[in-house]
Amino acid sequence: MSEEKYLLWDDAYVGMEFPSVTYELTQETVSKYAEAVEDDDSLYRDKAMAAQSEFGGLIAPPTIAAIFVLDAINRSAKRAPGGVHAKQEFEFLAPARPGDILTTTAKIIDKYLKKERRYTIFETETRNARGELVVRGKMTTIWAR
Amino acid sequence: MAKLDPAQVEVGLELPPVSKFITQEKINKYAEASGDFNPLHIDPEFAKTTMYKGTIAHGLMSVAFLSEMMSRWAGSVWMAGPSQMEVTFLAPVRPGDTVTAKGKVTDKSIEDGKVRFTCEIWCENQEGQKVIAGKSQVVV
Repeated sequence: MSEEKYLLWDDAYVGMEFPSVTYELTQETVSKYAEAVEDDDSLYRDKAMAAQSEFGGLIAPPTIAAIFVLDAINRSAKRAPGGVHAKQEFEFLAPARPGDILTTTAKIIDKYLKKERRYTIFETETRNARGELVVRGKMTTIWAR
Repeated sequence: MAKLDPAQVEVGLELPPVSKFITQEKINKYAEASGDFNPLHIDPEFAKTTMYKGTIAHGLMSVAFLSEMMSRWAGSVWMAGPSQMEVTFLAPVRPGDTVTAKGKVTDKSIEDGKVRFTCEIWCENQEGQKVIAGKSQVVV
């Protein structure tokens, strides 16, 4: 990728909004994620058990939000490699489910220098195809440049 | 999944911990699931050239362990929401590490007839060093 395509910290500003990014959450991803983090809760992988739960079907682990939220920020606000993920906040408002089409919007809500490191805070909102708010996030990141 | 009885929970209660042994294979699986193929996580030769001197796990793996601890303790209300967690990444997790998610209840308040628990949560490695720390909230 050519360098000029990266968003630089100097050009980022509080209130900056990024184009929304859509992500299709598949059962395959849910299963791979649950396997990778070794969470064997039946709600994530056992269709028959999940159908009898209060959710009426399979759901995804809440922190799978990490996948589509980071994907959205990294795709819509392309930064140079070498940055550091300093903090993460998630507010889980409804479970994501396999088959969901999830749309994430991101904006910058804070920008500051601390010990000569360049920080921003991205705020994200992810909704499913029914318009329900699934997860709200705040990611604090240190920029490489 | 057993339902949590909020009347039985008092401030100071320690949450049942969740432990995971980290391997390169598991990190690779997380990379595949998440699509985050940063070579710092999956390429030992590249990772040797960085300040970390070797591969490290995705920080968000430890976030998943904290969430699992919360769901095992609080039950499906954790997944149903509204629930919340915020964490700061403090130290890298490496293949061969054992990461243990821990927590304790620091506040209990009544809101609209429901009970909101606030917990201090963290993951530590086999040496007792905190690798990620923060807090969570769940409404029961």
